[in-house]
Amino acid sequence: MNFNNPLDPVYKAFAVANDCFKVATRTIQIQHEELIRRTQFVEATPEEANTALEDAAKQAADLAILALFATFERFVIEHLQTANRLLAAGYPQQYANRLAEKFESEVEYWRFGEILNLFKGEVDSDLIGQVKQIKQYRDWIAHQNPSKPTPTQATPETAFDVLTRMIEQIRQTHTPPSEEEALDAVAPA
Amino acid sequence: MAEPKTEDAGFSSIEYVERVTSFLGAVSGWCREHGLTVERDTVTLNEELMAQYDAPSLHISKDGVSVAKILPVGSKIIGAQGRVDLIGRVTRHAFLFYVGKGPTFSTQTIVGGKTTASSSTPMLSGVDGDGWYWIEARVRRPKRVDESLFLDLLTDVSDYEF
Repeated sequence: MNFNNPLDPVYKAFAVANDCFKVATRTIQIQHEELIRRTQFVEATPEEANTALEDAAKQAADLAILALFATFERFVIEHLQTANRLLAAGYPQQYANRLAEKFESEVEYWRFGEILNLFKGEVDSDLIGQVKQIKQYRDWIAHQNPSKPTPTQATPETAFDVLTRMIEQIRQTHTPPSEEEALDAVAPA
Repeated sequence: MAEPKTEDAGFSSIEYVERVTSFLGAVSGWCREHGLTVERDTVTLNEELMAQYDAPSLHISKDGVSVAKILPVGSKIIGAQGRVDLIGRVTRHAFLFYVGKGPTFSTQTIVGGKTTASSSTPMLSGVDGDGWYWIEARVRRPKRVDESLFLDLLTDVSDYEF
């Protein structure tokens, strides 16, 4: 993944947080008082501290999925907003400009599932389906209700992979080929 | 509209439980060979659009002190066909079950509104057949969980040195 990926900072932060949990767990195990001073771990039993860290690590994984999806949503909406140029080029000009402005401001409020459907054809529909599943899981995390069954789950790693793949495909397929490439492509063999 | 392959109605909890059971059997053998004690248990899973079911778990210990546990997480996993987690006192690792070469995606080359080429590519390189895989976090490459890798990961989650 050697392109400018907007998800990279979120994923790297999650990886660092994971390592911090490991360091904290080891620090508590050796009861290193100097390092745990002025924290909630002072006077906690190892079991209490481990439970707190385990719960926090789970929360961090869930929050990573929320943050990865929020960043992905922003990328997709900003990409979609650039389509206002197509509308602005319409006729008559004042009408076209107003239409373009309205599109740009209101596209934020479109249903995200319907936005994803716009990419069908150029982007693999299985991949779009996986992105929708991550969104469902994100929604479940955000409105967590323990009595409801768990939907199809994702790890932060899988969410990063799937969303990155979708960003790559959008960038690849939505970049018009240069004139020269287009001519080569349609030239008879 | 092609919906995700993980929604495949043909995949059942029975298949997932069989896969977990088989994996825990292998893990139990590896642990015993290295002087560790294993104990089976079960976890009840409640997944969307499925009846509740029990799946096996494994507790790994040494001289009565817990080293790690393997817990079933679920059969409905995005991009995979099941997940179990190896959880120690330091951290946890997810193991994912992939079938064949794992999930694939197709790409199309469209010129002048016409599809001129299409291809199907695995989403992950390194999946070489049905099995449980762990994904290396930095370069995102899946590795099949064999005895050697499992023991390394057991040390990583628990700080237990062999």
